[in-house]
Amino acid sequence: MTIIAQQQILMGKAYITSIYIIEDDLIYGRILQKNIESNGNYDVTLFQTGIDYLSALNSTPDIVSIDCNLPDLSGLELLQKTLEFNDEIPCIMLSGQEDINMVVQCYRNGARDYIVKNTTAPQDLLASILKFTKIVTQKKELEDLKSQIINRVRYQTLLGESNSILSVIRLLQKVEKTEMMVLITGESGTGKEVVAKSIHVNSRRYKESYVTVNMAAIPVDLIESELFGHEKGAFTGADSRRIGKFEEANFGSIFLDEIGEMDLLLQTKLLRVLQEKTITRVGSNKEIKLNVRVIAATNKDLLKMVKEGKFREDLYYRLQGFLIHLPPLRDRGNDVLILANHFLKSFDLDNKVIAFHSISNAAIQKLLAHNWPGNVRELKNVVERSTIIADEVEIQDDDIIIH
Amino acid sequence: MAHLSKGIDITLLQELSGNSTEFVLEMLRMYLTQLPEAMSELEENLTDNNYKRISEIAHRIKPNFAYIGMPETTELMQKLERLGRDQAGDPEIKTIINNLGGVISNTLLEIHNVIENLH
Repeated sequence: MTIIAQQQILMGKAYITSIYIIEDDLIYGRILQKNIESNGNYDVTLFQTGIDYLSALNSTPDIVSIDCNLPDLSGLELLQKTLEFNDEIPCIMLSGQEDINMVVQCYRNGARDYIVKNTTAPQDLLASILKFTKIVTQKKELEDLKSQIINRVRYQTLLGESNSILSVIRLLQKVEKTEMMVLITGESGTGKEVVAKSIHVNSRRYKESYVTVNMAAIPVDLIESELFGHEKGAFTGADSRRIGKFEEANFGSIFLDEIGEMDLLLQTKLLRVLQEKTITRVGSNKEIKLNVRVIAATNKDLLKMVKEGKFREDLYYRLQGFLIHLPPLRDRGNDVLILANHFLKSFDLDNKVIAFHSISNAAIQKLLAHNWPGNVRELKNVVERSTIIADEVEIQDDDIIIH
Repeated sequence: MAHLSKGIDITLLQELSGNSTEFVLEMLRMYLTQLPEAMSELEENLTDNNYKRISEIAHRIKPNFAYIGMPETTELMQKLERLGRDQAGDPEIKTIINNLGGVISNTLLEIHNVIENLH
C-alpha cells in the first residue's frame, strides 16, 4: 500500500460538500460554479431564481452563496429564509457593489461573508468556501463519530477492512438476530468484550439487562454465589438474600468472560444451568426459571483443555453453539491505521482539543511494523499515549512508544 | 472603445477553469446567446422608458465583460446601472445603449473567431 493510500485511510472518509449558488446571470453563475468544482470535492448546484432555490432548500446544502440582487426575491430575504430553515448553514453574500449599508445589513442578518463581484470574486468566493468547508467537514466527522459510538458498539474495535475482520462482522450480523449461545475466542486485547456487548445491543434483548462476569476476577469460593445468588444464612456472612448474576441477567444476556478459568465443579453446575435453563440459589432448593442468552469468551485453547481434562467436553460443545474467533491485530494489515485514526479522533473528541491530531508517515510505518502482541488494547494505549507525548498536532515516530 | 482594438481576452476564463478548453468553449457559446438577449432587453426597456429595469439588466451583466477582457464595458455598465437607478431618463442612457449595440456586435464576431481557433 502506498503512503498516499495509507494517508487516505488516516484521513478517513472523503466528504462531498454541497454548495448552492443563487445567481441570476447564467454566465457569471457558471463561472463561479466551475471555479469551485475545479478546486475540491464539491457538488455545486446553480439556481437562477430565489424561488427555485427555496424549493430545493429541503435537501440541506452545506454552504450557500446568495446574490444580493435577484429578480424575484432579495438576497436578504433568501438569507433570512435560509437561516430560518437551518441557522447553521454558512451563507455568503455576493453583491455588485460595495455598499456599506448592504454589508452591515447582511452581517446583521446572519451572513458569514460578503464578497464584491469584481474579477477576483470567483477566487474570493472559493477562499470563503474553503474556510467554511473545514468547519462543515469537521462537523460531519463529529456526527459520524458520535453515531459510531452511540449506535454501534462493535465499531469501537471492529473497524477495519481486512478480510479477517470483515468475516467476523458478517458472522456477527448473522448471530445477532438469533438466540444462540456464542463462544468468542481470540488473544487478549482483540476485543472479545466489545463483540459480546455488540451481540447483546444488536439482539432483540437490547432493552434488557446485559451482565458481565469475569470468571478470573472472582475468588473460587464466592463464584457460585456470585453467579446463582444465595439465600439468607446459606453460609457464614450471608446475612441477606442475594440475587446472582444469572437472575440479574434474566430476559437479557450474560457475558461469561475468561470461561477457561472456571473450575471443574462449577463447570458442572453451569452445564446444568445451560441445559435446564434454571438456577438454584445457594442455600435454597427452589429452582428459578431463566431466560438468559449466554455469551462466553476465552483466550485459552478450550479444546486443548478438554484433552488435558481441565475443561468439560460436554460444556465445551454446549458453549460452542456459535463460535466467533477474533483475529490478532498483526493479521489485520492496514486495520492498524484505521483503528489508530479512530482512537486518535475519539481521544481528541473526549479531550475537546482545538485541533485534531494527525499521524506522520514515519509514525505510520512504525505502527505498521509492530506486531501488536497486546492487540487492539495495546494499539489504543500507544495511540493515546502518543497524543500526550507529541509536541505538535502531527504525531511523529518518536512519539510512538512501544514497550 | 479600447477593448475593440485589443480584441477579447479569454485568459481569465482559462485560468478559472484550470485551462479547460471545453469549459471556455461552453462559456463563449453562452456569451453568444446571452449577450444578444441582454441587448434586446435593454433596447426594449429603453423604448418603454423602463429605466429601473435597464439598471437591473446592467447590474446583472456587468461582471461578465471583465471575464473576456473588457473591463471598460463593465465600467460602462456600472454607469448605466447608476443612471437607470435614478429613473430620471438621462439622455446618456440612450447613448450608452446605442454604443453597447456596436460593442456587442463586434464582440460576438470576435467570440466566433476565438471559438474557431480553439477547435
